[in-house]
Amino acid sequence: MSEQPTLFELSRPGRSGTEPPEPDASLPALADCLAEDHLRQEPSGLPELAESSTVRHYTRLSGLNMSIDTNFYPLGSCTMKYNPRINEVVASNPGFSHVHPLCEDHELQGYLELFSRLEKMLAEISGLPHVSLQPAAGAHGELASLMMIKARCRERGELERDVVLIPDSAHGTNPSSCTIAGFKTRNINSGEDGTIDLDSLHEALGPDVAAMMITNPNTLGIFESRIDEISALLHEAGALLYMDGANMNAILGITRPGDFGVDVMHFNLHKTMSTPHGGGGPGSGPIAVTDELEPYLPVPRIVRSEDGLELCGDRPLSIGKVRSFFGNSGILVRAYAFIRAHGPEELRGISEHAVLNANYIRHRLEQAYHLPYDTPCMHEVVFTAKKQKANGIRALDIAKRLIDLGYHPPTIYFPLVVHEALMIEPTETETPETLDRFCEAMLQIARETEENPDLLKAAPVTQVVKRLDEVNAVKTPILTCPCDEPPSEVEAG
Amino acid sequence: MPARETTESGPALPQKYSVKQLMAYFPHTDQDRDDMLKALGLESIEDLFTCIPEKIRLGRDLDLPKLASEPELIKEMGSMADRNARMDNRPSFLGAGSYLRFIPAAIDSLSSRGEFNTAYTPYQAEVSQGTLQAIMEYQTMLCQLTGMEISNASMYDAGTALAEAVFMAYAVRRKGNKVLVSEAIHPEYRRVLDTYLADHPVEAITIGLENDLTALDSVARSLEENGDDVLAVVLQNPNFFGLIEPMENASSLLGCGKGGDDAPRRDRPLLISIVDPISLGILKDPGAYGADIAIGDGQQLGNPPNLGGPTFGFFTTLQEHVRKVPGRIVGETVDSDGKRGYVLTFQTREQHIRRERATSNICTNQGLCSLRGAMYMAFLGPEGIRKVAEASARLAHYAHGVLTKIEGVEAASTAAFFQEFSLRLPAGAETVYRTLAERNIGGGLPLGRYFPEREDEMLFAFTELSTKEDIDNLASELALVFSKDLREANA
Repeated sequence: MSEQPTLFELSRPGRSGTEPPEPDASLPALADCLAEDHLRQEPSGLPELAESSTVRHYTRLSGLNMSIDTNFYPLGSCTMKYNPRINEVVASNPGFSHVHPLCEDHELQGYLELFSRLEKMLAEISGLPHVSLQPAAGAHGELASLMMIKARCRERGELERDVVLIPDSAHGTNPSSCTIAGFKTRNINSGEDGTIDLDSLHEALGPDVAAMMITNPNTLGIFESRIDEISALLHEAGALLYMDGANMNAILGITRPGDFGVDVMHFNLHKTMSTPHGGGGPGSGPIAVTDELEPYLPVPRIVRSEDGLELCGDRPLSIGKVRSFFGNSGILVRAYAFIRAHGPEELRGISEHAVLNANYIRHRLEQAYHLPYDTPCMHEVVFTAKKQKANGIRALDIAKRLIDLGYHPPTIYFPLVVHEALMIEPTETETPETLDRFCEAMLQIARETEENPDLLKAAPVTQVVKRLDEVNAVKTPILTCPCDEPPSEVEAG
Repeated sequence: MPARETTESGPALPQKYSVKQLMAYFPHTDQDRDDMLKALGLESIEDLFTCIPEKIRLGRDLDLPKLASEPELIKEMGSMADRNARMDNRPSFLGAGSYLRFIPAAIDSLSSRGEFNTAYTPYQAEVSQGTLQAIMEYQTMLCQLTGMEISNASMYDAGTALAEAVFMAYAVRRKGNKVLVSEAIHPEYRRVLDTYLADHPVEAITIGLENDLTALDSVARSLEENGDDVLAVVLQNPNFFGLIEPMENASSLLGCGKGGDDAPRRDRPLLISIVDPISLGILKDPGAYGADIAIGDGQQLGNPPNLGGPTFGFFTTLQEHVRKVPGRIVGETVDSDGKRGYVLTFQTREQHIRRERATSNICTNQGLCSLRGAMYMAFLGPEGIRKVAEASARLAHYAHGVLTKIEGVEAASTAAFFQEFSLRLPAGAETVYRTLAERNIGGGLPLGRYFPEREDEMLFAFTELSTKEDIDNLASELALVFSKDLREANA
C-alpha cells in the first residue's frame, strides 16, 4: 500500500479534465451578460488534471479504506451490515434521482406513495402510529423530537419543564441535541447490571423534567428489562419517554418501543435498514410518535385527498421545517427496498441472527476478555481491556493490532461508563466462519498481550500509515492541502 | 445468493426457528444455527430474548407485506418511479436551489465503489486514509472556490448549514441576539432557520427588498437601531430571485474584509454569505468581499436533484474560528514514522466528546454526497466550472431576451442576474405551469408558493444542459398561451 499524492500535487497548469457541454456560439457573450465588477478576477485555484488521472486517484484512495465490502467491520453501535446492491439499483432509477423537489404534488405521486408506505412500515415496526421521514440523520431526528417535546411544553404552558434526563451510557448526540433544543440535561446512573438505576431515576425525576432519553437495548448491548416501570414513572410525573433507535437491529418484530411506553423515537435507516453509511453519510433519521405528539411533527406531512397524496405544510402546531425540501429521499428509497426485501418473519430474523452472532462472540471471548456486566447481551457485546491492562496494553492497542490481522476495530472507549471499552457489533449478515476467525484473532491478541506486547503497541504496520499523531494535528493545524508549491517529485502514476 | 422461496412453497422446517427459509442477507444455515446455539448451551433462538419481559413482547408477526424478490422489487419500485415527473426526459426550467446539471460519468462509477460507499465515518484513521484524504482535498477545493480559509466535512444541506452558521456567529460574538436576514434568501432555508431559532436566544429580523435586491439602507438603519445587538447579517448571492447582490457594499457596511484588521471581528456583525458554488466559476467569491462565513448547498457539484436530498451543505469560514465550527474537520498530521497522514481533528468541539457543550449535535453528515462534490470539482477543474457557469449565464441571458419580448411578459427586476430570473406573467403562474406541463415542458417555479403576493411571477432557471431550441420552444409555447388568454379576455 503506497501513499497517494494529493490532487494538488498531481495537478499541472493547463491540463483539462472532463469537458462540459459547449454552449451555442450565437448566445450573448459573457461580457454582454455581466458587468466586470461582478466577475472574479482570477480563475479559482482548483487542481487541473486529466480525467484518467482523477479516476486513478480516487480508485487508489478507495483502496486505502476498510469497508463492509472488504472487511468484517464490527464497529459497535454502528450496525455495519451488508448493504444490498439492489438498494443502489432502485435508488438510481432516474424516476427517483432526477426529480425536482418543487414539482407539483400530482407529479410526485410515485415518491409520495413510497413515502406513505414507508411511514406505515416504520409505524408498524415501532408500534407508534405517526412517522415523519424528514430528519437527515439520527442526531437530526433527536433534535426534531426534542423540539417537538419543547413545543408541547410551550403549548401546555409547562416551560418550567426544561430538563431532560440522560443515562450515563447515552450517545453524545443525545445531550448535544438537548442543548440546541433549549433543554438542560441531568445524568442518570447505570446500575450494577448495566441498566438504568431506578433509584437514580426516582431521585432525578421532578416537576422540571420534560423527558428522558433512553436507548434500548442500551449502548452496553443490554435490554432495559424494567422499561415498563421506567415509562410508567415518567408518565406519572408528566414527562415523556424518548428512544434513540440506534439499536433497533436487536428488537425488530420482537418488541416495539410504542408497546413499552416510548412516546417518540428516531430510526437510523443507514444502520438498521442497511442504506449504506457512505463513509459518514448521508443517513436518514425518521421519527415515530404517539397520537398526542402528532400535531408537532415537522412539515411537510403527507396526507391523502380525493386527488391522491399531497404534501401538507399547513399545520399550526408543527415545529416547522427541519431541513430544506423533503428529507434524504434517496436514502428513504433504499430503506423501502430493504424492508420490502424482508417479510415480517425475515425482519424478525434480522434481530434473531444479530443477537445470535453477538452472543456467540461473547461466549467465545468471555474467558480472554473482561466482561463489565454479567447480563446477557443483545445485538452487541461490550468487553474491556482490563485483563490486558496489567501488561500495559490498552483498548486502543488491541484495536490497532486487529487492523494488522485484517479486521476493522470495534468501537473503543465508548460507552463512557466502561473503562477501556471494546464494543463489538457483528450484525446478522456475517457467517459463523467469519465470527470464528475474528474470535481467533482476538484470542491471539490476548496471548500476544502476554508474550509480545510490543507487537501490539507498534500496530498497525500493514496500512499506508502507522499510528497517527492526533495531538500534533491540533497543535499545528493543517486543514487544507498546500496548493502553491511547485509540482512535487512524486510519481503521478 | 441462495434462491428465495415464498413461504407457501417453501419446505416445512421445524418451528425451532422463526425463519423458515434461507435468506439472502443473513447467511446462516440450519446447521449453523444448531451449532451456534449448542455452543451457547441454548435450546432455541427464543432463549436469547429472555431478558425481554413477556408482557412487552410483540407475540405476533409484524403486519408487513411478504418479502419481494429482486425482480419483484425492480418492478414495484420502477412503477412508482414512473409516476414521478423527471427533469431529464423533457425540457425543465425549475431551479430555486435544486438544478439538473451535467455529471461526469466517472463520478457514479467511483462513488459507488464499496470501499467508499460501505465504510463508516473515518474514526479509525489508519484504515480510513482514502476517505480522510478525499475529505481533506474536498475542504481544500471548497476553499479554493469560495476564497475562504477553512471548511468542514459537510452539513445536511444549505438550510441546516445556515442555522449552524448563525449558532456559530452567536458563539464567536458572545454578544448580541439579533440576526438580520435578507428576504431574498431561499424561503426553505429561512424556514429551517426559524425552526432552529424557536428555542434559541437569537432572533431573526427580516430585511426587505428593493428591486428584489436586499435593501442595504434597511440593513444600515437596523444596524444603527440595534447597535451591538446585531450579531450577523445573512445574504444570499445570487439571491433566491437569481439576482446578484451588492455583496461588497454590504461587506463595507459591516466593516468586514481585507484591511479590517483594526476592527476585530468580535466587535462587528459577521457577514454570513449563502453562495451558489457553480456561480463561483465566474462570480466574485465570498473571500474576495470579506465574508466571515460562506455556506451553501452542494447539490450542483456532482449530485442529481434527488427530490432535494440527499445533497450536502458546505460550510466554510476563517481559520480563527476553527474551534467554533460545527461538524467534522480533517487535518494533516504525521504517523509514528513521520510520514504524512490524515485524521479527524479538533474533535473536542464535537458531540461525542463535548456532549452538551458541543458546537453542534451533528454526527452522520452527507459524506458520500460531498465526496461526489469533491470528484466533480476535480474532474471539471477551474476551467470546467468556469465553462459551466458561463454557459448557464449566457443561456439565461439569451432566454431573458427572448421571453421578455412576449407580449404581456415583463422582468420582475432590472437587477443583474446569473442563471435565474423572475418574470411577471399575464396569467397566474400556477396555471401557466400546468399548461406547460401539458405540452411536456417543466415550467419555472410559480413564486406564489413562497410569496403569495407574487402569484403572477415565475422563476426560470437555466443550466449548461438547457438548449437554445428548448428556450425558443418555451417562448413560442408561452406566446401561444398568452395570446390565446388575451384573445379570450378581449372577446
